Amino acid sequence: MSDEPFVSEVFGAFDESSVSKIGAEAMSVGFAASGAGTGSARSAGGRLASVLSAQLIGITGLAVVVEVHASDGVPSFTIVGQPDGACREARDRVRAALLTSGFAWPQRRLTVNLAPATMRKVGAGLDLAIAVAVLVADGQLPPDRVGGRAFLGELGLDGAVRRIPGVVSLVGDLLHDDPRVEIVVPASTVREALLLGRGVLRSAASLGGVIGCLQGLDPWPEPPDETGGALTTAPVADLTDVRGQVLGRLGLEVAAAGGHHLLLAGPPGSGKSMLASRLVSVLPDLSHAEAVEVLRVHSAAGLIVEGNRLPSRPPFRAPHHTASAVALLGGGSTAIRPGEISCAHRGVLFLDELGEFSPFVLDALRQPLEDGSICVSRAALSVTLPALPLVVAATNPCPCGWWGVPTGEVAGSPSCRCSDASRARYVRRLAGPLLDRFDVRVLVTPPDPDDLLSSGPGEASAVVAARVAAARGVARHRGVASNSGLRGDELRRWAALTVSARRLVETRLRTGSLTARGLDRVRRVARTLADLRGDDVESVLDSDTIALALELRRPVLPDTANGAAA
Amino acid sequence: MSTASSLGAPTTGDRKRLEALVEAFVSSPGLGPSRLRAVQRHSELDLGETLERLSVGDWSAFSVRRPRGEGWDQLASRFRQECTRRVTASGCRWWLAGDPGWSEVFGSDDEPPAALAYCGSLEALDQPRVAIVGTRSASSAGLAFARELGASLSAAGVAVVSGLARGIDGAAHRGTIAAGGVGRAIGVLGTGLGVVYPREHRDLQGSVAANGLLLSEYEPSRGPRPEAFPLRNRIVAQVAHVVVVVESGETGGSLLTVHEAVMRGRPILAVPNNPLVRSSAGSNALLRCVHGAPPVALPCHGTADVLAVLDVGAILRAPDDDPRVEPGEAPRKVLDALGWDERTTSWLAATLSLPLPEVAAALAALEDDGWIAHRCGRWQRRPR
Repeated sequence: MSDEPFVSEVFGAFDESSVSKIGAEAMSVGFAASGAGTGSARSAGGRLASVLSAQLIGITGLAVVVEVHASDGVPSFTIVGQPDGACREARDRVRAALLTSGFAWPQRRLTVNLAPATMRKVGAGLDLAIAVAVLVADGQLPPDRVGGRAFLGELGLDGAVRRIPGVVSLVGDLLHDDPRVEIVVPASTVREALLLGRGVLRSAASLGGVIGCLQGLDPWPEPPDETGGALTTAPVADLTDVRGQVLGRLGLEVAAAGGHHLLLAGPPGSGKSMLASRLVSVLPDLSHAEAVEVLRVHSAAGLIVEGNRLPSRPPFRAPHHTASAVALLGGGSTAIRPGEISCAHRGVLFLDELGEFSPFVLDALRQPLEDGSICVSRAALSVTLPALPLVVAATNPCPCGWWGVPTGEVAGSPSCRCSDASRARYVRRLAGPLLDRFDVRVLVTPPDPDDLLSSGPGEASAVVAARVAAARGVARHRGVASNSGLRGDELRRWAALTVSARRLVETRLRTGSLTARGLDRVRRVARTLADLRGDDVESVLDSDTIALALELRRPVLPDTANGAAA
Repeated sequence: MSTASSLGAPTTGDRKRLEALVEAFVSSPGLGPSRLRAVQRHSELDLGETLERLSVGDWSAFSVRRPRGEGWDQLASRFRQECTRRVTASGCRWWLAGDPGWSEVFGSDDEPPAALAYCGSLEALDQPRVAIVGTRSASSAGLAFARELGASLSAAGVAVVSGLARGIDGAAHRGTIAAGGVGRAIGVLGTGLGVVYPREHRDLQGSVAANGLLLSEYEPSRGPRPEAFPLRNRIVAQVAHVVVVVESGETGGSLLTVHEAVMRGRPILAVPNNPLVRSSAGSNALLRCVHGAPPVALPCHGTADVLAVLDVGAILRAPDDDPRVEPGEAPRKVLDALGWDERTTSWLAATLSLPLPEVAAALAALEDDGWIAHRCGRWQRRPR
């Protein structure tokens, strides 16, 4: 970011250069207010002030102009422009904050308009801008002091400026509208906002402090050190802890390398969650652009940004199975908050106990998983949020979890006592189109006691991660981020089959155990397997590779209500 | 046993009326199959005449036991109501005591049914008949065995009798039908013919009727009731020449079938299984010598054992030698490691110390040649 603070008090310059209509309007109104000047403070038309702010919709910051009109008449304070509950209550917060900060509350008729008036205003993020605009309208602050600046933050009754969610997006989009605007953000979020690496940011700890700086009495506080605090990443679980699980490990590696969604099935205690939570440890670091996307979503969702750094590791989200559709997909009636699927963007979304999620929620997951984004529509507005997670799901084969486990495979395992009906109901939720999205399906069984006790540590995450990174590098040669993005026509070029491999899939296509869509998915997974092995970019897939890809796609859940039909 | 009805040469109309009267009697509340047997035993007249008289309220001449707390008149009026409702509408056929073929099947029975509703072709009863029974919650190995046994018996020209319950019963008939052999499927229901229980056997019940024969002692609309199934088992034991128990728990209903079969002197075979498998405790017990007495059942390792016991001569032949392609070297190793257990791919790779792609290729080859089947993440060898 530039060290030179951009300070301009020339309004005309904004009119020429401003890209944003709203921004331009704000500046010209500000100019008009200054034109009204101190001399005509008590003119018949009253006094007008206008201050730029922004509010968050989804993960997008939209400029909001706070206009305050002060006129003679019975003292009152009205907010118009579709404020919601929290926003309407700004009148009480702003009044108390001004008084406790040592300013006079204007004994005049005050009307606050939040433009554009057609957009619903949500939350308390406009408090600071309203307070500043009131002071300007009352003549306690010269209008030229607020021109070219935007104000973000919630006010406490003592005048403290509090953090608001989505500062990263708000700052980013205000700067996108006008790169020269100077933005005042709550002190507790300034590090987060600085992660974007551009713009002129001012830290606001209290209303009194902000006004002092605006009046030129005090210097603006130094922005904190750009590098932020020490990075305290929670220790990520490592794959060395996983013993045995040959196929489970392979599934994990393939999922990470090819971006294939992963389904783990198996009885309780077999290590499904253990494997799933280690998926993130073998994923490559985020690129800068990806990190900014993740940062914006996390900031908008109100998640703490770790160590105030641009996230370098992919996020890992594990919503509980009681999560509602809105919690998972994003939504809300006024402000649209990103859901878990967006919070896991570019990372891992772990759905533990998949069979316990409500069928409605599972159904709703299908479309975003296909599109990589989710369009949340409400009566008033619709917002598109990024949603490109790698989904790893874990499930039992039946409500009790022990269906299909042969006697003696697991010492002391109970036999399944679920009724046929309950088992059918359980599996029916998972069946069909959602299950089809999982390219890699692995049955996880509890490890052998020999593996647990005698064998040395398993292969470490770092070793696997190196192979994954190399495979992703090969995929980028083909013009996709990972092999799961290869289209049908690209598969013909990048995933050709040898004669024996062709025979293998032909048998299955003829018997109907493999569908045309399934074939494409098998080829993608096989391509990833070959890439992991270090094959040539354009190598032909042999029958062993295809057989292994088929192996990773076998059904792992009971397919009928009655085990008799097979 | 008194065969009350000799149908002479009844006109189609008479026969239809008779069947409808039987159905009405069986379905009248307070009457039913056991009272029909009583009527048949105690009446001097033939069944048709008896029922005609009953239908107009003439009860006094018969020694039908009075149901407790209910007057004759009430009972008679219910029967009359059922008669008027059914005589025109019923689509189901009834096989009555004394009909052609009846005495070949039920002649030796001490408690024969008086009439059986049927669907399909009675010619299925001309074949040698083997019952395959077992538990409703069977292991997948048991299900596979029942399926294969049903299939190979059908191929050998033997009809397979079973109760169309979940588990072994259903698997045996699925095999019989899928084999498409000469041997027919004969299902004996504990419900009416118009009711499917369990519901997931809707398709199976239909195909048994199309392939062979469905029998039931009850009126078509009768739902499942717990007391009906042991009674159904006695018909299964009577209809079959030989009873094979594939897998039965210690207190399984299939042991009731065995009991009925012992009473009737039918040879019994049981499939020996791992003593640790709980669902096989009952069938294994049949093979045990208790206090020096010979075991109840002979061991059954496959179709040949059944055919040897059945011993019905030249129409039977054991199925041909294994038609499957002999597996290659690597697949052979995998097949041997698999044995007859269910194993995961990971287990096979770890046991054989082979790389996963090779194991996967071997498994795919074995699957294509019909040696093994995949079921929810585990592999299992298929019997011939």
